[in-house]
Amino acid sequence: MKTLEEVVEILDARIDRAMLEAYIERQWVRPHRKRKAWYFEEIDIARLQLICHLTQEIEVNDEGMDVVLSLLDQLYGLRTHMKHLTHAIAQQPLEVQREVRSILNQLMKTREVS
Amino acid sequence: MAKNPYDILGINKDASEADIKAAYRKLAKKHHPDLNPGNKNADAKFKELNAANDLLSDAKKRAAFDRGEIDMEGEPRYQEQPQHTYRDYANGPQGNRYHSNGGDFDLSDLEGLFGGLGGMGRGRGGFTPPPADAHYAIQAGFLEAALGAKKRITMPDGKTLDITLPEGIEEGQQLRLKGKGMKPSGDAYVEVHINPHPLFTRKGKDISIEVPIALQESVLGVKIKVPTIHGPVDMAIPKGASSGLTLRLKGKGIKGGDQYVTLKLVMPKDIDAELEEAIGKWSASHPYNPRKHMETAT
Repeated sequence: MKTLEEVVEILDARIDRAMLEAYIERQWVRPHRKRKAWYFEEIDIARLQLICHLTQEIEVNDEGMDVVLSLLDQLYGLRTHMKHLTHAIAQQPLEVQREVRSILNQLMKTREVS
Repeated sequence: MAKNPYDILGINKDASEADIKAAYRKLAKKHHPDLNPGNKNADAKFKELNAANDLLSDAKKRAAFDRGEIDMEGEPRYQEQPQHTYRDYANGPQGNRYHSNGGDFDLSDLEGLFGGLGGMGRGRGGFTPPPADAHYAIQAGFLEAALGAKKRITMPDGKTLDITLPEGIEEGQQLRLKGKGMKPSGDAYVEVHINPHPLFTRKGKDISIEVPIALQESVLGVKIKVPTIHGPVDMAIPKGASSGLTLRLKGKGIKGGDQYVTLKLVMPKDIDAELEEAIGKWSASHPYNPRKHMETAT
């Protein structure tokens, strides 16, 4: 776990203390709070790097970032559900797997036609 | 990566700084790996874009490249950046901290999900493509599996797949059909299940069969016809063969294996007066006790 000061240093001039506090305020990043100090995990730092890239290089504005991060969190949440689901299906007998696959294929086809 | 940074960004050699920035921004948005979690190519593409942008947005390096002094390999800056992108974490268990629907698993949600994905099937969404491999299971006859055969299966989409069962395939074995999966890039895996045979059983390459013989065949010793997986063959029953005696027919199993024939002595249905009299007379003068070893053992 890294402190707020350490994170500012890791991100190497791409972000300052005030910006980081603003990101926490907007809930773009949600570090752990312990005895009035912030502590960042690796995922928080990676997320901050993504935020820097999106706001600075791609110039997404603050309102845009709210939307982007919300969609991104939904996307990764769904991917995790999908991963669990495919894992669960892979443990079923072959006939069940085949049945699931044929239903999915059927669903895809119907949507494309309509 | 001896590529041309101008081509990567899709711009002309005389592009202005603003052109470069605009081109980079447009492509970076599209190929950022964190925004394309299901697309494995996005990573490489994004690295390439960054390398091209780093080179061209630095006036000195750009001039050096234009003079042919350095190529894209001469630009190590992007390599120094951290290896882990956000998606490495977001796809992992820690990702749950930010996922917005990390609640209970609701199957009815999922129906909506698949329906929705079907609708965007033709788009370029970041949806994980369905698996390229296909898995099937088939039932093969005992003799088909032992001797090899051609089988045809019908897939869920109505297409057919021709399969050659190799001689001696085992129960539960998988066959891989290269390039016959859900997509040309995938393979089809066919699991083979073997139906039992009314007469034969098998263990590896060897076949076993139980063959009934009549009392007189045992007493007199004769030649009988015995079925094998390769067709009936003649086999000599030795005089006095007991029930349970196992004889071997060499090379009559699978791929050079043997067939084991276990004899089963079957008495006539009715013991008529003639047989009774003959055996009665015979046994009076030829007593023998096949259970003698049991007495000594207990």
